[in-house]
Amino acid sequence: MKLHRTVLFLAAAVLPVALSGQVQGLDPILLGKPAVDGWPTYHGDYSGRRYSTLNQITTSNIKSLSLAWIYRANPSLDGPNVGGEYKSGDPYYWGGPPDGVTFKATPLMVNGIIYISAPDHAYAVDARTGREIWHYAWRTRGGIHIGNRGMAMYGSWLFFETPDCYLVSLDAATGKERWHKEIADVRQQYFCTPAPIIIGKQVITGIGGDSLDVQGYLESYEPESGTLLWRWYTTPQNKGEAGSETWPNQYAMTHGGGMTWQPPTYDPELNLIYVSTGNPNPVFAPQSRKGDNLFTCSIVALNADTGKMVWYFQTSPHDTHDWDSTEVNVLVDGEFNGARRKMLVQASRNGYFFVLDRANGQHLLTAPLTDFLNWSLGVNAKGQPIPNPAKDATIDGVLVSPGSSTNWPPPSFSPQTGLLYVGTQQSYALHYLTDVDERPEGYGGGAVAPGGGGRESFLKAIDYKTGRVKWRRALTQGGAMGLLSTAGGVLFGSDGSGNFVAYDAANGNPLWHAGLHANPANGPSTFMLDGRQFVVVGAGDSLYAFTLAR
Amino acid sequence: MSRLIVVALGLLGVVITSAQQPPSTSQGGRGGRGAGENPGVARLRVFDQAAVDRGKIVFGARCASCHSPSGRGGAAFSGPDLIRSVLVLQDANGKEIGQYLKIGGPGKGHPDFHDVTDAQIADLATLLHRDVTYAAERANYQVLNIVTGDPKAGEAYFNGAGGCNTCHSATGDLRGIGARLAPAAIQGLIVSGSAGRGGRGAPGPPATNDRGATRATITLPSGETVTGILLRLTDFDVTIRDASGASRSWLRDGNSPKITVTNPLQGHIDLLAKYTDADIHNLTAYVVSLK
Repeated sequence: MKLHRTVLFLAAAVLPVALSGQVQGLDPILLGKPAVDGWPTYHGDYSGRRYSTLNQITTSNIKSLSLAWIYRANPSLDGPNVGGEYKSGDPYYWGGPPDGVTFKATPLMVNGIIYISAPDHAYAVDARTGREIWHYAWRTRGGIHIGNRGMAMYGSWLFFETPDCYLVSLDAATGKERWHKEIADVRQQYFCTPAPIIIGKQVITGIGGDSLDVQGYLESYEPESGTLLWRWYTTPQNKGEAGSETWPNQYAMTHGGGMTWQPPTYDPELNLIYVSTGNPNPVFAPQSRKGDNLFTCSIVALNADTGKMVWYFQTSPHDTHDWDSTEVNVLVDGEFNGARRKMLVQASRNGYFFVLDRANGQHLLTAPLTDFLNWSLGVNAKGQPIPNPAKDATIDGVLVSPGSSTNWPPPSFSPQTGLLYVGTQQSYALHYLTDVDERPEGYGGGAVAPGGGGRESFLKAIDYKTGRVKWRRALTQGGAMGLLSTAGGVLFGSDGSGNFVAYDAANGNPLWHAGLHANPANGPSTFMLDGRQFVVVGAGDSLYAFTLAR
Repeated sequence: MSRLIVVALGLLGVVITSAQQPPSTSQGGRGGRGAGENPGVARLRVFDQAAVDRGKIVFGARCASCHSPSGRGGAAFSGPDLIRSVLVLQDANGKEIGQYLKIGGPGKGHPDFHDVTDAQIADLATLLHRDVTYAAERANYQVLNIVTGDPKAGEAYFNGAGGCNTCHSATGDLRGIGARLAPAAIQGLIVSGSAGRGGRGAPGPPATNDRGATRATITLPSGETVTGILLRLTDFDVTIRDASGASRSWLRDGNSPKITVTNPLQGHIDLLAKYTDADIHNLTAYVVSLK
């Protein structure tokens, strides 16, 4: 297995994305290298860097970037390709069909075809023309229809998750369904948004749902048949297991949350999957879960073959603020304190920035991500923030900052500049405890920020070696945003006000923008097609493609 | 509290610390509730209150002694938590619950419910599904009694350290506010200065006479100045509503036109970093007392 992987990994360096002789095919070993002729997985490659080596579009010629096409999603729930377990007259559990399409997914692009999903929908679109090739609609049983982050591709098969938590596999050429399989129970308030990730001959799937105290897990499925290969629970199943000492009892930890809705990143050489887990449950009412609540709000490395935990680092011990740590674990190779290291960096929702050695989980750096931050009393010897219990929600309310500092929208790391780019915000909110039962359930409280809570938003460029902000750009709207950096020195992002913006990656100066009909809601992507570099971004129900005018 | 803070934009228009605030509340959990959210079918279920009330009677007589009066179980109770019960969650209209109570359960040690009518089981199911929904759906949550502060200390803060009396008066704009608004709304106004606008369900951009609205003065290359309510400001354009109610916009080129933003609520924002939670609770108790 190890030899096989290494050989294929080396081969990836010299092969284009497509397997020769296979019309629609994609070999998963190609996901370990920055993509050039396509965008074959959620982040473009396994690293989560969202950095493209393409340099046809540069800071010098960006003014010539022009609209190539717009694809507006077909919102119909009918058509030739329809699936789903919903039967007419059934109740909807915790949600129902969407009344439109919003693209939060990063589209795949393989062999000139874009594949993108949205809640209850999947599409194939011609990357040259923006014309729809096929559409697949899913009749939902329910689930919160908040978003869908995209598809995965193995050979000529596509995979995506539905809000009612089915893993669906489609034939890429036709959009016909191959099979679907329930991966979580929507009736228990699970709902599913992640993009699956292909690793070897595995489809890695995460889940979501923190409304009713269910348990998080990450799973691996065999792509041909949909057979479950392994499952890793984010919280311990039984007393005595690792981490169980951080929970008062088994009932608390098996209802302790820790969702896995961020697609993981992966290091093929170390064969480690990097998972970032969500907040513990009950969310704002922690009286029944005293302790650190491992492995919620953690960065966890799993062996990709077995799903067994190799190391962990908890970024928010005993979170009480609904700050999932499910931000992207970005894999960075470079120098740290004079030594070359394989690192993992995360700009976390709790207002801190972390750098770890990703081989062994050794902590290297913790730095504040935001200017004001009152929920923590500082950082402990292990580099973890120390929660301030006085800022746990109370009946009469406590004022908590920095709010949700960043979120799932993907940041970007450029090896060219050594900077991590991330959309951030800082604000104050009143945190109220509403469930005072000794056995609280669900959220048990909430955060209220009328008028925005003094919100300030910044696009920031962070030097991973120090955690210092090299530059930042104030935004009047928004905060977390999807970002893409390129070898052309360009940083693609948005401004929260409906503009798709190209910034100078070196200093944050805006160089180019296009006002779209809605604010970009996904991560931009780029690829070469017929000798032209395209940049694609999703806004509302549409995909926009740009390329240099000729 | 609305002492004017004027911030001239820098060369690149970067520093806008007192500029307009985003319209919505928090970005929420679950990966970006907020921009682009698609609510779909209304998620809040409506329950038949008469059925709930009948269900409570059956529950009290037959269930509470083992499952606790709340149905959540606990150390002192032999029965499991029914709110997180997979059987209850997977039940549709009492069918699975009835099947268990009458057929499946008795063999597994659950008391036999053969004497309970189907109608009573349907009422029990309605009660349980309501309580599950109340636990799971944040929109149902009720803020409890938040008036815990000392109104005298709040009054002192209002007239002293907080500087609230520079803009507000107990006998002027705040007269009778405690009779008009719920305490939680008042506490929200204290920390924000406004109830927020433009967010989900909000009525849209501020009215021309909204004294809390962020304003901008645009100085054109000709020297002419235009002042109005700031509707939109990006690196590339600015839009205001002028005194006549008309929307006016300009493209920006670096520092031209010159834009000066004033937020009358800046005083509220400045206090966010200075308040103790006790200050807020005391202020709330004081303002709530202004009936």
